[in-house]
Amino acid sequence: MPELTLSPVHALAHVPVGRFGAAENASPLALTALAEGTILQILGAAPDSIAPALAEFGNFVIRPNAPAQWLAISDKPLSSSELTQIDAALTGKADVIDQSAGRIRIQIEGPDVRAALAKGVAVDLHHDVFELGQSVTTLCGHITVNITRTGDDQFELLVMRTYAVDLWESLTEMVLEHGIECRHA
Amino acid sequence: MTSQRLKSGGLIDRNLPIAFMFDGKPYQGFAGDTLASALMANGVGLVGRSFKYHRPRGIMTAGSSEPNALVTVGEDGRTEPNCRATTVELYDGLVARSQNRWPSLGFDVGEVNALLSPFLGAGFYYKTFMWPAALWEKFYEPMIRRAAGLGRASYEPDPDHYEKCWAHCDLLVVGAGPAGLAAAMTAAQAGARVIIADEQSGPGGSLLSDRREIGGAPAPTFAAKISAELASMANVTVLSRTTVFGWYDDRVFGAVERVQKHVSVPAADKPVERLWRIVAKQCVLASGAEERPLVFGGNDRPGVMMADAARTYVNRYGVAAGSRVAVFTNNSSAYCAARDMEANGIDVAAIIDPRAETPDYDGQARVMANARVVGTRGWRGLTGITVQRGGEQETIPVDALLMSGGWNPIVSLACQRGAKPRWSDDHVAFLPPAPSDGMRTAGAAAGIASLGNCVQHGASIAVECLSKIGIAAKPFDAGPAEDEPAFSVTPLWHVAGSTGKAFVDFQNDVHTDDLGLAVREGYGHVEHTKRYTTTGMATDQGKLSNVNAIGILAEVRGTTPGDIGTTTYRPFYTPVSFGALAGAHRGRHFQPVRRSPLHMWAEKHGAEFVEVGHWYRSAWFPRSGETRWRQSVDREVLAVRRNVGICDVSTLGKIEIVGRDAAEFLNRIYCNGVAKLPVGKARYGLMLREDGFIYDDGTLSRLAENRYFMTTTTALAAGVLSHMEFCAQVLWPDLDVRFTSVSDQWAQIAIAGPRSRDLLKQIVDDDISNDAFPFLAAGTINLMGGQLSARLFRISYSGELAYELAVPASYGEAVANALMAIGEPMGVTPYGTEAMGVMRIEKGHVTHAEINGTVVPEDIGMGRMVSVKKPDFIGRRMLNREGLSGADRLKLVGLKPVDPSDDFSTGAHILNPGAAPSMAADQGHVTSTCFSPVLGHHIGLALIKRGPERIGEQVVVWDALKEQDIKAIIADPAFVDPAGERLHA
Amino acid sequence: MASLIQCPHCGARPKEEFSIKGSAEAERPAPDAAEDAWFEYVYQRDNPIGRIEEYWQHTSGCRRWLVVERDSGVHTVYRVLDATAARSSE
Repeated sequence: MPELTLSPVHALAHVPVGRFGAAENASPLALTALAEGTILQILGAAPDSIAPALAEFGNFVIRPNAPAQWLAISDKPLSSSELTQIDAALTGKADVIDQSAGRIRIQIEGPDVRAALAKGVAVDLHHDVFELGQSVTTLCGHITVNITRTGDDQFELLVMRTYAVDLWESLTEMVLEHGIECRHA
Repeated sequence: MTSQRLKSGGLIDRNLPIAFMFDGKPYQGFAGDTLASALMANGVGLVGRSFKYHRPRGIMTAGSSEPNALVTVGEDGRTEPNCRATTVELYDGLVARSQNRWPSLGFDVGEVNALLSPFLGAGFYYKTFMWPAALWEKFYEPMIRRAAGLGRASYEPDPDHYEKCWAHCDLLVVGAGPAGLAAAMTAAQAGARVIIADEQSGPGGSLLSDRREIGGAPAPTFAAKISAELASMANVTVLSRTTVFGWYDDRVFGAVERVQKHVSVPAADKPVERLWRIVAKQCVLASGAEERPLVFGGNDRPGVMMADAARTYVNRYGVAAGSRVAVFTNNSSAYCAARDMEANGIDVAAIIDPRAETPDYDGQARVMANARVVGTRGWRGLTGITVQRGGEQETIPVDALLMSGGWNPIVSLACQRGAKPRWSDDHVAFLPPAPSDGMRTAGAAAGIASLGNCVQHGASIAVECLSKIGIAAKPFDAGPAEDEPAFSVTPLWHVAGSTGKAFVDFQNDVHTDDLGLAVREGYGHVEHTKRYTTTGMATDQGKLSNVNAIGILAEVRGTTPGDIGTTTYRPFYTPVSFGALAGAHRGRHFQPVRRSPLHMWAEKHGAEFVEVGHWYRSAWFPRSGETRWRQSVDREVLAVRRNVGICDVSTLGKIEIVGRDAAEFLNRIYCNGVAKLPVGKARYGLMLREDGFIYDDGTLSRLAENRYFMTTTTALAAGVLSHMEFCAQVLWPDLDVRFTSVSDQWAQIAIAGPRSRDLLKQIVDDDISNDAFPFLAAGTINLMGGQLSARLFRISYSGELAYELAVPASYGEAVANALMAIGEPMGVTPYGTEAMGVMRIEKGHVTHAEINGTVVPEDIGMGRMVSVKKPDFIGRRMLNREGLSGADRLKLVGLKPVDPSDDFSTGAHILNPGAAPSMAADQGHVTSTCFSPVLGHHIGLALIKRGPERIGEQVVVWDALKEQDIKAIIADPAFVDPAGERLHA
Repeated sequence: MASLIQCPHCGARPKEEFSIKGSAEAERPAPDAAEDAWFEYVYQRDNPIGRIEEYWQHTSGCRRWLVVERDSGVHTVYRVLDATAARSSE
């Protein structure tokens, strides 16, 4: 067998990075393509039975995706044997579908983040209404995204890989008047 | 015309002059001017020609209800026709042109229409242009198209961009006049989330035209102070230049913000317009009231203007409508206008009032009670009016006539969801409908008269709205407002005995005779009158004409305006650009672009893409020297059939199904049996619709006891998933089954051709010999020395020895590159959807060209796939209908031309030789065609009556579009390797 | 322009997030029911003006099928239930 190494390519590998839009804004928004780690779609069980099974494989956050459906997310990629172990640990409790390559994580933050997201998102993201850690699946423009508030003025968007570049382009246009810094994590 | 700028006064900034062009001539105005006020300041009174009669028209109002002063603003891709000069904010370098006139505004050939006016009455187009019928297409229609419309749109691309956004609030206040500002302050001070929107360049509304005092300050100063305070509050969003144009179901409002329509050169990082969708828990409609014109002969002459508009021009813009004016009014408010004229040194010759008792007036003007204006003089500009009092007539020379027929509360938004406004004899106006949940009206829009009362009303209505959503508020206290006399009005719907046309709808040139005609011809119902005469149907939507038309109809029909009623109110309140409605979704972003994980790889290899729904699929990969797509496609097909090719099939729908009842569930979804599919095997499956027709075809693989992997056609992936979700959630919720789309998780590559195994085994660690991995095997494998876990399926669409390799999408590019690198010595060829299409036609494999919604499994030779044992599956019952197994049904066959150099088109119909084309003679149609590089001629698939029984028969392929009859022979649909030997190699 | 649907799982969302299948009045007949019953189920719809029940799916949200009870004349939405829950409570 020839000596060839297979390396993954991020879905947003080729998007333009740098500063765009209104130059005079001292606090531009920051748009970050987060590194591809692990995303597991858990079908069936409640988070308390999932968390222990995942604990030894990384720092997972568990977010609701739909009724009886969760997304378990960690920054660390898993090997196929680790995935098999998780699957076994959850047998009888929940079904695990690997979506680590199927979803792309995009972080957007800055003082004007809510005004920017409001251009595509109909859900009220006001800081008194949408709490830290809260997640919704909704439309941003014409693309379905899962949005989680991860900080005071910070949100993480999960989008289907095949729509990631399109969403990234839409987001960069939505925020031009606020100024944006685009980068890879 | 002697309208002119006053030496002082107004809210304009006389230190900031602005240069602009109108009809090719340069003029100057000031910051704060509208195009209308600047034109008037320069003595320009003639600004347009009316729609039908091409009568000279001037500026009639100072706001968004303007019917006459429609101009085209901007050039090239920024050209915007039908702009109301009264709302265009002046900016440096503005270029505007009048409309609907040729060759010029001053000398317009269209004036000849005035001579034809007896033939151009209401409904004339129902009675003319009918005969002779042949002239319609060649003469009447082109002529009408040229004459129709007012402004002309540009065909050049719009260089600016637009955007849309959402907003949420506790209270939406529509209108930032006295009532609106008071409502907003009340809510803001109570801590509510407030959005206040006003169509003008800044808040203030009627306060900006007023000279009276409120809260100890002149009205405009008061407005500025309140606006600044609101703008400083974090819980308030002040939207200026923003029209709330629609109230939709529930509590959603549509608004358009004109972000940069007032700047010389729009900044590229901001939109020119922004469409807002506002979700408001409560709304206060404080849109004010619109002054009504009076209807008398010659009331459309340039120089005839609304009284309150003239007052606005004087107080806000420092412009006099004329040097010697008269006032014609049936109500007390116009006396205020007269006073303001005189206070600015404008000579008011007379106040003409039809009432016997008139308000006290202490100015210079001569008050004429029991008097009416019955005619006007001058053609391009007013020179005088004719007044009738008792039996006597008097002509008064004036260059402007200020008219006021009363006030209409602007109720549109409150009525857009079907509620009707209520007629009030006291107000001589329609008042808003009864309050509904979520919308209240305040101020002049609710029929409240004085400034002080409007402010108080706005505040108290806000308190009521907020209490409905659990917020306690105290009414904002503005302080004392200047006293004013009580409002009085007597209806005067039209002046009988006028000379000349008395206009009701200025923009559509509808006059009183038209209304009379409509009633006489049986179109007296208000909705019929509207459409028969077109009153209320222009871009101003009858803001100045609707109520007058209703009043006149009431008189003609001997009833009350309340009885006549209003026509249906609909969004938009004022026109909204298509740009705003589209927002960012235009051009390439009209719909999302969906890219396969192999997209960049395909680009690198020179792929030509085709759009399939949102997807960009590689259609073919031209090599240098290839100029026609056939060259590439033919080469790719031969490369696959003789050697090996790789194709990106990532776009197909992929669904993973798990659960103890997964097998049972899938058994009920497919028409063929799948419950006994062994682990490690794949199967072709047909899904039917509940009516028995085929819905989709695809593959199903069993990866583990309770884990399945399904593929669907690209275009039906979303539909199949929703269908399965319906079955699982609604039809059979007791089944223990769960599934989800994994279309994005996996990159999937087809490796096809006699050498496909040779290539694949160089990257797959596992044994994939024919014994170890036979046709339809499926399972997890490892790649490149355990570097990657992947899934391999031995399924074939091309009919060659073939596999589909699924790898996690992030590795798609790497694996495709590896296959190309390793396969290079054996000449591996990337191939696209076109080559794939040719090969599947050569094999007689169906797509949705064949399974087109009218086809059952038997029709495509798959009758035996349908399970007879399964007690239930989607479509089972209706599939058994007699008609779906009829002998004469169209069935799948192949088709080849008798003359190998001929080709035929998809969609062409089949006839027996010698038969004349007719529905009765129709034998079927061609569903797919291609050139087969393997056979060297064109082939096709077709659905033909009793097709399989007629193989070898000669037929005619009839194409009426190309006017062709091609002789063809019915053949077996599997043209290449009919025994399927290559599949099992 | 969007009106808002109260998804029982997700809250108020614009109707662009949903797709509409059609009437929820009829129940799927037993597999061996008479042909007439099947013909009715597949093809016949009353389509009244007034209160109707429809199947909607929240495709850009929770992907649950819902039963929307609304007025086909004036568009008032009376209630929105999860379809599985609605069926099991019948």
